[in-house]
Amino acid sequence: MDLAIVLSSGLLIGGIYAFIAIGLNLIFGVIRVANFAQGEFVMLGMFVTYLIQTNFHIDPYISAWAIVAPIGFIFGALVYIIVIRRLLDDHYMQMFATFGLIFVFQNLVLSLSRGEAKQTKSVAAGKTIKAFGLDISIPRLIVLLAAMGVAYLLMQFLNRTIVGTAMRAVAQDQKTSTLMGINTNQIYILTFGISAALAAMAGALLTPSYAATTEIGFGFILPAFAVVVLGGLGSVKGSLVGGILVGVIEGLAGYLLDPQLKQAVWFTLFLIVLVIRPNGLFGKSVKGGMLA
Amino acid sequence: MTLDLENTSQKTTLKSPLKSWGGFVVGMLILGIISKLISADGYYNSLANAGFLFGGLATAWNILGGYCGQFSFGHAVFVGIGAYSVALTKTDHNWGTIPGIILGIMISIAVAMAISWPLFRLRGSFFAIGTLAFSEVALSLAMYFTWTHGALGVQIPFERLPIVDQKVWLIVFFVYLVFCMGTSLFLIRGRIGYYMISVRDDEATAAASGINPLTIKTIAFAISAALTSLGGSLYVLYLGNLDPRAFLSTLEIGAFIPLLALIGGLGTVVGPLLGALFLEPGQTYLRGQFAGSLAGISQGTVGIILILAALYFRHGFWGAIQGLARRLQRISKGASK
Amino acid sequence: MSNTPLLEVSNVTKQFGGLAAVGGVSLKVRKGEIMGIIGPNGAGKTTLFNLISGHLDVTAGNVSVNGQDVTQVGPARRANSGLGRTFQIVRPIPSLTVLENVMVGAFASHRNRRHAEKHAWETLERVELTHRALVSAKSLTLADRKRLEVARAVAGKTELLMLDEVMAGLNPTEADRAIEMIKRLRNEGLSVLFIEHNLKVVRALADHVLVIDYGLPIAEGTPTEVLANQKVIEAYLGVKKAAK
Repeated sequence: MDLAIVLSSGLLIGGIYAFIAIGLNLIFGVIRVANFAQGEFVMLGMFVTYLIQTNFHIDPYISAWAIVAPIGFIFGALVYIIVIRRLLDDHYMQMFATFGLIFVFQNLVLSLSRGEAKQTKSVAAGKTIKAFGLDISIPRLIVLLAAMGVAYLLMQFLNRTIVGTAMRAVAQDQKTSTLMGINTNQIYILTFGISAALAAMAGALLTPSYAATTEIGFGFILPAFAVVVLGGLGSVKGSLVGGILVGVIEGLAGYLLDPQLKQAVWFTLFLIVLVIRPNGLFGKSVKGGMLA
Repeated sequence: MTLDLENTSQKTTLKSPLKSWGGFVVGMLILGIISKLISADGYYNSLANAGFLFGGLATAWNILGGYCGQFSFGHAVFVGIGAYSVALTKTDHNWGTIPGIILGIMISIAVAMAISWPLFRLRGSFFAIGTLAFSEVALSLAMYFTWTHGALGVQIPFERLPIVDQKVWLIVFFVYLVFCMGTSLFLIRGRIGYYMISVRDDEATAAASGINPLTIKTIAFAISAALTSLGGSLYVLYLGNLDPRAFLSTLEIGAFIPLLALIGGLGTVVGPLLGALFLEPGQTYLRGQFAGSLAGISQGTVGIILILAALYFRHGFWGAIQGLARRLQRISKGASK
Repeated sequence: MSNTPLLEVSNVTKQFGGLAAVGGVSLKVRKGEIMGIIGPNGAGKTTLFNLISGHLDVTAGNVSVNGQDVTQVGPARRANSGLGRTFQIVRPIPSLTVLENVMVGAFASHRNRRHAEKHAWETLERVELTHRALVSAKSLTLADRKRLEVARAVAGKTELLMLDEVMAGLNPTEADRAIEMIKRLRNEGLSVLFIEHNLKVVRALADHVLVIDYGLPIAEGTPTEVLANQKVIEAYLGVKKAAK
């Protein structure tokens, strides 16, 4: 049944989008920064995973959380400290700077990889599992499950731990949080680090399914924004549901219209949500949200 | 201290038309003479062509971005609309050059006005994201449809190109630049300029003064789009072919043009030109020097410049010059006491 | 004086969820009149102001300026219909000079740049701010910023000037000068609707006063009448204290 194939692959793609969008949304919600370079963290994660696999023969599914994620965290923290921290007050300069980061990361990798696509080897690559009469790609299924797992863990962290609660406090009201004794600088570093780690991990988990190229990151950033808008600013659950929804809608549109019109689909979705329900599915009406 | 405008011997306190426009004309004359001189060398000629073209594009972007405070990262759409209008009508339908250009301008204005209402309701970052998304959609649509020649792009037959002489192009691009900067100067001196600045700095206060922010932003958007479209038309006629991935690229054009305005000086008449004259030839130079040996060096350098500019150099070259001029003024005033 | 009031607010209500921030307030301001709105903190005065100036939509009720209903109209069009408003937190346009700030207001009635400039100068004279005309608006003191706000509003098509706690943050001397300025503007034909905490200012300026508490009107009349009203005293001081 064609429709079932479309839906299942849309679901799986949605898992990827959700994974990338969760980190993006976290940065949006807590620091109020639009991190255009989020896709580049994914790209870098993919390349690092490739290097680890080819040089040390560690499978992506192990290096993803054991090595790549921590490296991503440190990298994200550094990016925040060096670039983002000084631009907290100026939204436009933030955009310029994060675009600058895109240029720098892409071209750094370009000069090192000479533009070649790098395919990482993995035990699960190309394997499928039969379910509901369909062949489901195992690597992609793992990404979807990982996305759900990560979303769950993140929500536990935000709701049940002191640090997580501090993050939520800063997201809701930065000035008052500072007055209450929360070190917002540390919270921001933590947030950026976690988001970068999530993105890098997503990249690692993608390597069995996709070859790493310099442009792959930028291709994810638009659907990631569409997910954030659809799911709602500041909502982890929203990113998960939104990601899956965007993936399914993209699949359906590709099936009914044309796979090449993916971008048009995201943008239309983006616009429709903005006009009808600017807070997205799960977003709260937070101060400093999307509307002017 | 009262002002009596009926008494014509007393001047206005604001910069008089003579000083502003006079300075503009003189500056442009000097620029024109310099470029005529360097155009003797073909290499510098083409650098100047690119510099003037992107100077005009950056100036056009600045009207919406620097003056009105709405940062669009999707202006590549209008470059594309201008380019496709001319290229397709000329190649497939044998239109003249001017009608194609005018068509592009009209479509660009219509598109700008159409997406104004949904996008301008959004806060800064989201407006930028929206324009970015729009630009990417345009790219994928251009590569998809057959009547836009899909991913192959449009190759304009050589005999249909109106101008092929580099020296003549220099004049054309120079005129384009002057036109864009003149429009910029005209707007900023008039009512619309003041309104745009108010909307940029404080929308609520602007509204309380009777200004409708959406109207002003839309006007700025339309003018910016029209001038950008004109530039796009000229660009495709200059190159002779249209590769959608080049003309509608966010990284090469959509994010590059705002950078030029930023480096040169946002919200000033001269700034965008300065940025373009610095970075366009600069980028070409880097590409030429390192082609092959270090892929990505030129764009990577652009990235570093972008980050440094955002962090430390927000007022751009012109801002730095103005700051210097103020300091010199203070020193001379202090010395004369 | 014509019979139509300059501003007529009819039974205006604003609900936020289940809470009525303003629950059915009516008032009329006639041409040449200075009217004050007073009440304890949180009474809904600024909300009422926002409803009148259009920065907030009413849940129910009407607002009319010169007989024309402006309830559905946004703040910019209301400003062009005659309602000039200042804000509690004064925000001049930082990139422009004082003169240029006022020109922004003046452009509403004078399209030509030179005419707008001339009108802006005249307005600065009326508020006694000409000595600071060419400096950047950022560098003004608080008192001068408030003058600038008034000037910008007055330079436009303002017939009714809405002042939101314009005396806040001013020392007694500055406050006295502000009172003089407002009286002068009224004598030149402007009408004024103001919110104020400082009761001395209310007595000095207002022809007519409306008292609001919990979003509802509790008294109306001349300043003397209203400030002697038992309900008003209770609202400000609390019932026990008022009983003393």
